[in-house]
Amino acid sequence: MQESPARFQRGISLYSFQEHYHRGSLGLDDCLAMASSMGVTGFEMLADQMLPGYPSITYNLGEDFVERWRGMLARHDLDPVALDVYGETRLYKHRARTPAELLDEMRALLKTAQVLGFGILRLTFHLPLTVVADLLPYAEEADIRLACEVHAPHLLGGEWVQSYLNLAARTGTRHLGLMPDLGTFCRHIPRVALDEALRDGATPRLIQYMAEAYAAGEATADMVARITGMGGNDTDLWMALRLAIRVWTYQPPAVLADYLPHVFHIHGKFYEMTADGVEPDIPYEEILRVLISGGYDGYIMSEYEGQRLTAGVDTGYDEIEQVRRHQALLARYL
Amino acid sequence: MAKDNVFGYDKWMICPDGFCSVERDGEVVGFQIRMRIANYRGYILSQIEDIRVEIDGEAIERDAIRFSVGSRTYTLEQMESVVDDRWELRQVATVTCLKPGGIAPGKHAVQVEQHIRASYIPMVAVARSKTALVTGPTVPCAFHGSHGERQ
Repeated sequence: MQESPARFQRGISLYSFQEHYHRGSLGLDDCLAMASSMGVTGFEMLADQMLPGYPSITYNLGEDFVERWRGMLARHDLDPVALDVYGETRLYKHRARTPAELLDEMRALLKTAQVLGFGILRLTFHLPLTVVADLLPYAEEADIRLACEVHAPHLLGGEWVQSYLNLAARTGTRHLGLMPDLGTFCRHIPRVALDEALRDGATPRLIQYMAEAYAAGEATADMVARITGMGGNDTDLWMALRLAIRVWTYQPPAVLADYLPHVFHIHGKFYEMTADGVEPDIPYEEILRVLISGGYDGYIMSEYEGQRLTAGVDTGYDEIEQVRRHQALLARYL
Repeated sequence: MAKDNVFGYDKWMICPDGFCSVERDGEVVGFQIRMRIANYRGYILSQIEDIRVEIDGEAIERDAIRFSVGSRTYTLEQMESVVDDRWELRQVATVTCLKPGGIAPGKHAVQVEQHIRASYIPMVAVARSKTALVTGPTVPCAFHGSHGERQ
């Protein structure tokens, strides 16, 4: 049987260039130019990372920025695909926000996305589902799709995802779906995270113990107690804590096939691309085979996550080179 | 990302320049440190729970700290209720520590902390950085009023 041709689109999340942006070596226009130079047509970004005037709980785009924005998109021939937002549930130290306040904020962010031309608004799981339900009619009216990011510690088979799918089914909407993060398919603790721990003085034997426990799929909720019992130092315990709260997760790529009808968009998370074009910790080949045979035709956005784990260390892992390698990996399948 | 700081960027939070005494009306009223946010995104000021400064092992009192970003200056207590202003990723904030006489010229051990309350994680993330800074020439104070009223 002939394999179905790949229909996914490759894009870049400007999140990948965050260190260059933060340190001033790339501005927003430079990030867009960089994405365009890598041959993509679509991009994604975080409002709170690169939009002047954000984060904001009210609509806060300046008219001159919007004009400049339109010029940049035209000049670089790029489509704004997804705008990543949060919704500040913990805005105040001493009180929670009311659902009405959160809805107002989300409507302001929806308007921000609309004015900038984004077709997808990325939501995360900390936002109460009732707020998502209340936002839905406004999203439909604006024709912007709400996509919930399925990110560690949440998995596709988890109850949060099911509650979203139930809401979509109940309302019959076509504007609510999922945005899986491929970081939920980590076979190993990312090598760059292990290396960082060792650089910071972790105990090699304990790091190896944790790496093996993770790779074997063991439950790691009690890892802090285990590592304490084994005499771990602060750096060992920091790794143990991240395992306990499930900063990294694994699920078999085949599980994606069951959810594809609800998947609008994918975060192509990666921690490291080796010189020979391999992500050593996330099984891209297996994942892409599932997406291609399932006919997935949305975007896969390069989302580099290794920069903060290699900060200040000369590993040869510049963000730009990393994204270039990840794009080459995606392009091999198209 | 360093221990206890899920957000990273702690290594670059203290700017190497702009560490100096500050004067107002001909009087040295304190000293300042220039700082970047230790995060991959900006935050609304009410979510910056605390800024802590230690010089040569000595902690500065919370109410002696003023935080200036953009054209405005706040006390840390005022900041707790500021939801219409923010610390963006590329904005360098000036942290002024009120201390009559300022800081002695020369090299000092500087430790700072940023405590950020993100909405999507159940704790307050603490970024901490320690470095040695050499004082530059005294500059005018980043704000006019004595208690951080807005410019």
